[in-house]
Amino acid sequence: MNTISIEQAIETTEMFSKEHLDVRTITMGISLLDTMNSNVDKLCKNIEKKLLHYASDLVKVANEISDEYGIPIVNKRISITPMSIITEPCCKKEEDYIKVAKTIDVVAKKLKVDFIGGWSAIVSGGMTENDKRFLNAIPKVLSKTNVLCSSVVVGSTKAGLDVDAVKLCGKIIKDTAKLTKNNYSIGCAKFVVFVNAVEDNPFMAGAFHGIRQGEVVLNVGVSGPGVVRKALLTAKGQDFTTLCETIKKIAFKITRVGQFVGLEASKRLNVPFGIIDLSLAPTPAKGDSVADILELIGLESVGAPGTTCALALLNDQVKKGGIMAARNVGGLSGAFIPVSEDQGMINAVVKKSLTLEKLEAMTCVCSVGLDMIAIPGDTSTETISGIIADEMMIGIINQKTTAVRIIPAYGKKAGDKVSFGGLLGYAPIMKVNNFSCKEFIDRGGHIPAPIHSFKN
Amino acid sequence: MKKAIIVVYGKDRTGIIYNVTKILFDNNINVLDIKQTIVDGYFNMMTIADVSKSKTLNKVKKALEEYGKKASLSINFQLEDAFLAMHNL
Repeated sequence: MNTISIEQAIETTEMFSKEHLDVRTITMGISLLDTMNSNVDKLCKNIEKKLLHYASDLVKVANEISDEYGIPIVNKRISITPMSIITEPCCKKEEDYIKVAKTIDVVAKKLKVDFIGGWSAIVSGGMTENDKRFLNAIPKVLSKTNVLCSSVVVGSTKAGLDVDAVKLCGKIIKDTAKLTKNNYSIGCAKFVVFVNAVEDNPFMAGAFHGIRQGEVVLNVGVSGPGVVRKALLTAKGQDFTTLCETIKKIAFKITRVGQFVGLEASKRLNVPFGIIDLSLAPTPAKGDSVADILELIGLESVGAPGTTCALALLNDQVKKGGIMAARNVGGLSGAFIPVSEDQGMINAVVKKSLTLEKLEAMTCVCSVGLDMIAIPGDTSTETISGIIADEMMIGIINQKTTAVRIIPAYGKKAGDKVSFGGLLGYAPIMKVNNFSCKEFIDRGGHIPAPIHSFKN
Repeated sequence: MKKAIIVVYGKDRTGIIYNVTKILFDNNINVLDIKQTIVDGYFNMMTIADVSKSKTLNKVKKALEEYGKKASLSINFQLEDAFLAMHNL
């Protein structure tokens, strides 16, 4: 018989009550392929019917599990099939896209989910005419919806980088910032540019339900920087072997909780369980910071030499411990390094220890990329595209997911502050290198896939 | 059998076990096991209880929380499954 010791019981209890351990998200992926129609109104009806059919009990069940087991489940979300595909037969004008997007937004609010992701297009190999229309409508869509999240996949290690799409994404971000200027340009916080995007990601803003996924699936994102931090206090002054072992063990425990919740929810909702995303996702809450962990490993401040190494080992140990604990691992799995959502990162930016360039280096070894970074509102479209291009190529060459979620906060300049509220936190505006890359981005076209993608 | 784990810790005082088990008794919960230690005047207790017959689990949680507040103790009441998932292969 399995037994629990008093120490283990206290350890678990404290993880929830003091160290912010939570299941960050339960995300239900729903295929919308069978909702496609050549009439916009019929498509909207079909989508509403399908979402209500599968997700009506999602929030209720998640809350029940949370109450019964004492495990906080912070977000309840839905991801849907990339909407550029679903809207292709019927959306010809900007208003058509807005109509569909608003329908999804309203249904999501009716279901009381926190976010719904999948206003997405995958254009790694180039854009169709429909893709271009879809992308051009994104700023308006984001400004007229609240919980709908959008992403564009502009490249992959297999397909190379579509620079035309990168250029367009720079414009989408600038336009979205302007259209949502009265709300700190918050529209940009709901938009991500990806390469090598994963199709089972439960985290926002980049979640979508890939077309190779099944009808419906439940994916879980666990978190717990606070728990890792507490564990590392016991490894103070120890060598790296001990440090790595400590992180691995605690990652195992965190993941087990996520897996338990996922299986229980899947059983109650009668929906297949997909994957656990083993991510250390920080929140603005004190003690729930990835930056704090890096500093506890031995850095005076995040951004100091050693930061990239510390992040790399953290990411790797989280994966090693988590994989052993879970049936199926997927999603982004690693450590997130968003600036606005992590008090330690914010502090490091404010004291000028952490720069955009160091963050870019860190993204080579973290699980995602440049995330929730606010930059001056007057940053040029080409510069934003240049930042995206750099980040995307890091992913393509290193065969990993990278992403950019950047907010050129309208009317703000370096050193100012923007506040998004809730989990999105607040962000100091970071300085950007403004030497021009216009000629570079204006070349357009497609950068071919790298040599190591040719494995056949 | 549906089991719960009740973890109590804080500064030691009289009547902790009495008060906690009374709340359990009042809600038709049978205690299966109690482990406790006292280190440097700090009381740690873990109780495993059979909650299958109780129809008032939310009431138990509230009553334990209230007693915890009154006696400056940290009291957590959770179903056992999450603990087993975390600590067993």
